Amino acid sequence: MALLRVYIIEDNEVYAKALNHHLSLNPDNEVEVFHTGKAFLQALHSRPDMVTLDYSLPDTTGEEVLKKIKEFDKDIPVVIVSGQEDIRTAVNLLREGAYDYIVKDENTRERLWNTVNHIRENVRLKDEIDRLREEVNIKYDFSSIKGNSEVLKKIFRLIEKAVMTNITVSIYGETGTGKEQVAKAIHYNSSYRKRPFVAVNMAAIPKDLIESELFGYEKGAFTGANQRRIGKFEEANNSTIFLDEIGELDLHLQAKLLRVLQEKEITRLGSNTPVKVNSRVIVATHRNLAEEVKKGAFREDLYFRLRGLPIELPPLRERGNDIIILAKFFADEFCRDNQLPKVQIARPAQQKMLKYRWPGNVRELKAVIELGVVLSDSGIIEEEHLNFHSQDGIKELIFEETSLRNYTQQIIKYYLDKYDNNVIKVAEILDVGKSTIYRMIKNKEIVINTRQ
Amino acid sequence: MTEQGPLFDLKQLDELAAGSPDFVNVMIDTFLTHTPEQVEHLVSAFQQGELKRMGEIAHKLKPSIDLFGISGLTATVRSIEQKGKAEHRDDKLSAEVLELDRVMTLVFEELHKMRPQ
Repeated sequence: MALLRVYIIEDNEVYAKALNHHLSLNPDNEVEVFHTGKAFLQALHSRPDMVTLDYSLPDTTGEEVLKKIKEFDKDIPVVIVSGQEDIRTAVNLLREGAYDYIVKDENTRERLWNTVNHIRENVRLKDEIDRLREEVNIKYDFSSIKGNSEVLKKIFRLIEKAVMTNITVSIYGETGTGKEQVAKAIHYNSSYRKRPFVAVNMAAIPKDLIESELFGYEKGAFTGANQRRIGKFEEANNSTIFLDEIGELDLHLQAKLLRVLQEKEITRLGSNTPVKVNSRVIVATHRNLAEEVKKGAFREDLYFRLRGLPIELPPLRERGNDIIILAKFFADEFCRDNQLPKVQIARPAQQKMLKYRWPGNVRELKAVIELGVVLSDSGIIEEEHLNFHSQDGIKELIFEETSLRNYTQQIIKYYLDKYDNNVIKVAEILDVGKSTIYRMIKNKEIVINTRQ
Repeated sequence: MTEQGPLFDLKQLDELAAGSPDFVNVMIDTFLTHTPEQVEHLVSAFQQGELKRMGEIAHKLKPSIDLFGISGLTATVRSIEQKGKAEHRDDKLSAEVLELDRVMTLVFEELHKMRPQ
C-alpha cells in the first residue's frame, strides 16, 4: 500500500520532534507536524490517513479539533496523545469518535507504535474493500446489461434517470429478465455506490422470519433471540435496499412496510424505540401489482408508495437480436472463465434461439449457452447443442387453462404491446379484421398499455 | 549532579534514537531552544498570580522533563500542574517553582556543555 500519512498535532516542540522521529523510523509512514490547531485545520483538506492529537493546544482544544476532523471525514482515525490523565476527558473524547487515547508517559512510544500499526492494517483493509467495490462497480455498470434493442435503450434511459435522484424504483419483469441486475446497476451508479447493496428476497425467507429479517430484533424478543441483531433496513441505512419479489409479502407485513416507508424509521422486534433509517428503496416483482391490488392481495396505498419510477423489463423473446448478443457474451464469458478457446454460434443455431420462447429468459439463455459450449465440437455451437427446457411449442403457449376468448385477448394484447399499439400491423400479422381489435378495445376486453 | 542523583538521564532519548546518531543532538538543541522560555513563562505566571496559566505551562513542560529523564522534577512539575489547574496556592508552591527553575537552569547549563562546539 501507499505511505501512511500521519499528521501530528503537538505544540511542545521537543515532544513533537520525538514523536516525529519515532513514527518516521517506519519508512512506510509519512509524518508531518503541526504546532497549532489552526495550522492543522488549514491542511486538513489534504486528508491524512491518521492524526495524533494533543489535547491542550495553544489556540483551541483537542475536543474542538477532533470535532472538526470528524465533520470533515468521520473515517480519519484520531489518536489522542495527551498529558491529561483525567479519565473523564478520555472517555468523552472516545465517545466523540477518537480512535484511542494514549497518556504521555514512558509507555507512549510502544502504545503509539502498535496503534499506528493497527490503523495501517485497517487502512489497508479499507483500501482493499474500496478496490473490490470499484471492481463491483465496473461489473455492474450499464455495460453488464447486454443488448442494443430499442426496448433495452428505453430501459437504459430510465436507469440513467433513476441514478440521478433517490426516487423509489419498481422493477417489473418475468423471472430471469435481470431485475436484480438492473437494481445493482442503479445502486452502483448512484451516490450510494460506496455503501453496501442490501438485497432481500421476500419469496426466499419463511413468512415468520421476514419481519425480524427486515427490521431486526432485540435480545430476548423471542425464543432464540440470544443477542441483538440489526435488520436489513438498518444495514441499508444511507444505502440501497432491494426488496425482490415484493408481491409475495403478506398483507400484515405490507402494513408495517408502508409505515416504515412513510415514517422513515423502524422499530426492532422487542423494542419500543424507533430508529431512523434513510434507505433508497428498489422493489421488484414478476407479478402485475396493479392486478394484485384489484384482487385485494396487495395494499393500494403501498402500491402507490412503491411505484415511484417503474421500469418494465421485457421478456427475452421480445428483445430480438439481443438474444444473439447475449448468447455470444455468455459463450465468451464461459470460455474465458474455463480457459477454453472461443466458440462460434452457427447460423442455424442462432435461428433456433430466435424462434424459442425463453420462459426462463436471460437466466435460461445463459444455462443453454454454457451447456452448448460444453457439448460443442471444433469450436462451433450447432443447433443440436442447444437443449431447451421444453421443445413443445404448443405446451409453452398454453400455460394455463382458460377460454379461447381469453387466449384471443391475450394474444392480441401481446402483439399490441410489441408493436406500440399499431392496430393495423397487428391485424395483418394475426390475419383478423382491424375492426375486431378496435371493438375489443372499445369493449375493454383489451386494455391497451399507454406507457411510453 | 545533585544530591538526589543525576540531573538528567538521556536513556529514553538514546532508545528513541534507534541508532540515528544525530537524533539526540537535535533533541538537545530543540530542548535548549524552546524550554528555557517555557520555564521563564512559568515562573513569571507564578509571580503574577496567574496560577491557571502556570499550571498550563507545567502541563506542557511535563513531557520534556520526562523525556530528558529529569527525575528530580518528575513529582514537582506534576504538583505545580495540579495546583495551577485547581488555582490552589499553598505554602509549598513557591518552593516548588523555585526548585523547578533551579534544576532546569542547571540542566540547561549541563546540556549546553554537551553540545558540539
